[in-house]
Amino acid sequence: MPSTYTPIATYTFASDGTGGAQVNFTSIPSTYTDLILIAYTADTYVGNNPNQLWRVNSDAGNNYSHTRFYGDSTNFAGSAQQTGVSYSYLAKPAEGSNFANATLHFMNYANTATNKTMLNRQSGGYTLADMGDVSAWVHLWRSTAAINSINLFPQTNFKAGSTFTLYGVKSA
Amino acid sequence: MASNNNIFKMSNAGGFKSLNRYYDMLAGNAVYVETSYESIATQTVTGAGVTSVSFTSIPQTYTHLQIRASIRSNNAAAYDVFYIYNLNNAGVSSQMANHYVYGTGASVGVNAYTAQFSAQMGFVPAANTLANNFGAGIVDILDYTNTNKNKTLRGLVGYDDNGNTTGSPFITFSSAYSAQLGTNAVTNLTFIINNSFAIGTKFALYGVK
Repeated sequence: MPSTYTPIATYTFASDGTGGAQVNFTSIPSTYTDLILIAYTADTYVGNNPNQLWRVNSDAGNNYSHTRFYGDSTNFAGSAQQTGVSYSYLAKPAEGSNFANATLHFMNYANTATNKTMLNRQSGGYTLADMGDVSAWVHLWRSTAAINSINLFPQTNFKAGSTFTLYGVKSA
Repeated sequence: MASNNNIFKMSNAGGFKSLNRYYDMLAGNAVYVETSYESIATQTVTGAGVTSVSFTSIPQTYTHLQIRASIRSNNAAAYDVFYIYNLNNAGVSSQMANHYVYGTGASVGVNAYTAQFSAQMGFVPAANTLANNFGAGIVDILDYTNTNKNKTLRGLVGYDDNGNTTGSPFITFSSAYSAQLGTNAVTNLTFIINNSFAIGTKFALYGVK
């Protein structure tokens, strides 16, 4: 059986990012079936739960939406964002060197007949004051174009040690 | 005679620009490490009226299985239910159980079922929601060949439709168990929905060593 789950690229911040530096996976080959982005990330933002975001193909149009549920120390709840959204959510680290993790699946990313649906499991960072949350998301990018780049944005800057790895999975 | 540490440069007229000597067959290349995640089989719905998708004679040489799917239903509604059914083709019996948590954006909830013919793993878009939308599903079966354990199936299934339809969309995290399967190894899997799968629905089965 053909082996798959192939590493495509990895970005690691050896020091804190500056100027809101993004992470961009570009020229993604269209030869896989799904893409999987694994992020272990923190932010230099001062405050709880900074929002780290993603786009695809550098599309800054209002073509994104999502639905999620989450649980934290006091709530089990859901939310959705729909029309008028030009990005979606990658991870919500806690303040300081408290890393969050996210596994974001881009399903059927190269199919040019369908919109793109993504599944995301996130676990927020923790501090003694902020327990973060665990969450499951489904994202929609309303475009039938193949995804050829993934763009990641910090709230302020990605913190040193933040790591992002993109894998390709190819079905038989 | 050159020593082992010399690098020879040959004439361009010979088509070579340099000659390096190596002492193993890697010739300076990195060692190839094969991944432990392999594609077993893929099924894509190409016609109308397909109500089930099955994987049979699943190799018993892996440790875990993962199914990755893009799913749409022809149901004349906003969504349809996605099930696992009749593990190992052992016959229909009301011996499946499952529970799940879900969110729709407007609400969250939980459900649990016992003594069922099939296990609900989540919800997928159907004919009356946003066009060109397929739901995504990832189902894991860990330790599927171990005959000392009952098997627990885990699913993450969902779709978003940009608020297109009231009562839609869904993100679901589910688990399932088959009392009929018991501790037997998993050899066959069948997926169904209430209506039929839309053309383009795709299931890919992977094995993890």
